[in-house]
Amino acid sequence: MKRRRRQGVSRRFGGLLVGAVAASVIAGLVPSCLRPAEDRTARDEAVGHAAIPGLRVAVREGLAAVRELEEGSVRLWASAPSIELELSFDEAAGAPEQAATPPREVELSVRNCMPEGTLTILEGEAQWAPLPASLVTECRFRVIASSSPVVLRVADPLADTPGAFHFGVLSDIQEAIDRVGDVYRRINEEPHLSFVLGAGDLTERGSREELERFQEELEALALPYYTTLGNHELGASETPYHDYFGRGSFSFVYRDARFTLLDSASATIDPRVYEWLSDWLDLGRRQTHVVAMHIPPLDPIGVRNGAFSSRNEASKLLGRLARGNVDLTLYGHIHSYYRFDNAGIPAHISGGGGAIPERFDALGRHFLDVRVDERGVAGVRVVRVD
Amino acid sequence: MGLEREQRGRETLRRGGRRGVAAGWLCALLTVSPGQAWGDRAQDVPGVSLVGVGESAGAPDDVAVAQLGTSAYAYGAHDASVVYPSGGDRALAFGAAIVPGLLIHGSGSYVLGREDTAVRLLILEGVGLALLAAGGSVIAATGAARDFVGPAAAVTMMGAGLFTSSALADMYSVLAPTGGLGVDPGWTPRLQAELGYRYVYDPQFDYRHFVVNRLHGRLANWRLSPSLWSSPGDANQRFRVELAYRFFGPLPGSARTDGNFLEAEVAMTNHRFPRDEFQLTTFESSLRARWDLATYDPFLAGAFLDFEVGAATQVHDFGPGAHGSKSFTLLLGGFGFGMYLGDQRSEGGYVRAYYDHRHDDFAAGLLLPGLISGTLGHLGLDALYYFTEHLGARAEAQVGSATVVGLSGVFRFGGRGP
Repeated sequence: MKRRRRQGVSRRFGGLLVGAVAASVIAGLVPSCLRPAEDRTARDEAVGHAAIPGLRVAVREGLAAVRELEEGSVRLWASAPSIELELSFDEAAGAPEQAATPPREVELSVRNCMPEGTLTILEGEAQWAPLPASLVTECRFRVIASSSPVVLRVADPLADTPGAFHFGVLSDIQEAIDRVGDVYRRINEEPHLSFVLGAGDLTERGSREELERFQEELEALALPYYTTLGNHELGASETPYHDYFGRGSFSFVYRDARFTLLDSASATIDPRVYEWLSDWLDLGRRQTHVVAMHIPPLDPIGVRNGAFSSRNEASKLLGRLARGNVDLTLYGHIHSYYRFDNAGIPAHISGGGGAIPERFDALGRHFLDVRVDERGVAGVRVVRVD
Repeated sequence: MGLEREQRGRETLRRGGRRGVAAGWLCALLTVSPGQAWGDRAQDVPGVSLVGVGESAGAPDDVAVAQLGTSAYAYGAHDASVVYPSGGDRALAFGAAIVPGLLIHGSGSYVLGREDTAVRLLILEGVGLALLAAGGSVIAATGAARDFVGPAAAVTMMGAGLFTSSALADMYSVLAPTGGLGVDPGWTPRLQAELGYRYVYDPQFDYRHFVVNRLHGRLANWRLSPSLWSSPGDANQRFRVELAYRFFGPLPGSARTDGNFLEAEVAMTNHRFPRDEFQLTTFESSLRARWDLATYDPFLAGAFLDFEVGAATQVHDFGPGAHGSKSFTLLLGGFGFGMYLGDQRSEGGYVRAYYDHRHDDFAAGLLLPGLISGTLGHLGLDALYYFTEHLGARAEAQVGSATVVGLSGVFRFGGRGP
């Protein structure tokens, strides 16, 4: 009898023990699982900052990645039509204002630059001269600084002039990188486009080799390509995306229209990015405001859920965008084209870069041509490549 | 017959020693046919031939199993004349249930001499893999095309459920005492009320603490289940009401032999987020089923599988500033593996691990690093135990985009069968 009673007790508590252990495992897994983009957000904050003995670079708002920093040479990858950077020379570190310094010569190279981008000295004393560049999307200058720090601006001459313009949207290239040249050639045939916006999935797995290959192919595009990352940039053991193409979440202004790109590659947006977004929404409230990200908050084909992991978060984000007077939302991730509205904001999913297509949509590779004028977003045109 | 076979195999094991069994197991896994891991030694025993297992390779002798199951192998029974698997046997079998059991489901049962159980689990795995392949290939071939992805995802999910469950069932079979940790509830209460606390950690929202009320009322084949989650500090509220019709299965007041059931459910959920100025309202319909594994194999007694599939329309009211509301569809579904605890006529309950494809409740979908983002639902654990005839407790944990953990007091009344 004693043995049977013992067995009964052990059965009951065995089951409860299994439950308790499993609950503990679930609870223990939690904190590290619920912010998968936290590390990338921290990396966003570091983009645009680099230093070597004698020279420090800080790109304002992280709108360019520092690709290379050597004595007398700074190489950047721009994420916006207009970037501002501060060059500081160590001898003057700690000086309250611009301090006199022996003339320092720096060769500044900005890749992914607007064609005909020009340089302006915003603060400090410096002289500059343009240098020949090998690509239409490269801007090179020789800068001779006679104070420290100096603040420079490299921008499209029209960047601050309100007016109508067009931009392209291209996303989800992935394994179709071998054929992406066709797409770039077709984009180059649209001379009215000012730049191309990307909503991620440039590569298949996001490795350094793939990112370098993407950059090589991009040399065929006659326009700068401002992009965020997609879930396919997260497939490698490390995520080197930020070293190459800069921030995943950022915001810039071009011709009085604001563009905000958000890192939704993990089917969520990090809480820190929501804080940034609040500021960007405030700044863009009276501007035409375009928001782009890779994974859409909501998939128009809901049963597929190529969308945020949480419908609650999706609704929260879209409500905020609507209250921030956002004019247009652009997404990738789904390899087709969808036009719908979310929270009353026109939405376009365009994953036409060539990655495995959604069948039966009779569309194939494509990109978008978006026209913006003084009234806002004036039109979105789908341009077929195949 | 399978039980007798296991008994003979275990006697052989005692004689042969564990080392011989381990060697036989390894040989069996690598080279020999089912039964021979034990049979190598059994051949040394006069009158015992595990090769004879093949005689019953067709339909199992359910009568013999049932008869034996009600005596020596029933839940809670102990027969001194029977040699039950020892701790060492079970540890060895559990190892096999992991390697190669995670690939070849049923390996653990096989090592314990339960060939019929092993074959049945292998069949479940095969069906699961076939469904996975069928659904997955449609998704891949069509590029998740809009007209195909819903049904294909549902089939894939069912396949994943069977595949996962057959592996878990094998582990359960070798670890749980013969007869299981409990029996199917002999009681479907007419009224079940729950009051509890849930802690919800979602980095996207400020709410953390919820009071949970649930009520299940049953009348004949019908069930009505309203529930309310409310956060006193945040004003966040989720109200849900379910109406279900049970086509077959345990009903209040009825005599029952197993826990199998199939029911259709319609439900409405309204979730308000006053702080973030939006609300979601979901209208859904689904089919829910439970498969009591005791009806599939006696060595799986006390375990069950749950399945659900359905669809919903969700109306997003994005709040002030947004121009109107918008509807989006939602695939519902999931699967769970559970085990009964205790003799539920007096006390007892169940514990259940599950996958739920929902993306619209507190836990929502899993956030995974890397390529797989957004598609999967959440994982959960649900345990209910009645300590007395009427009073019990329920513990719940979920992890998705948020974590939910909590405890409730549960009260049941009426509907006790003969």
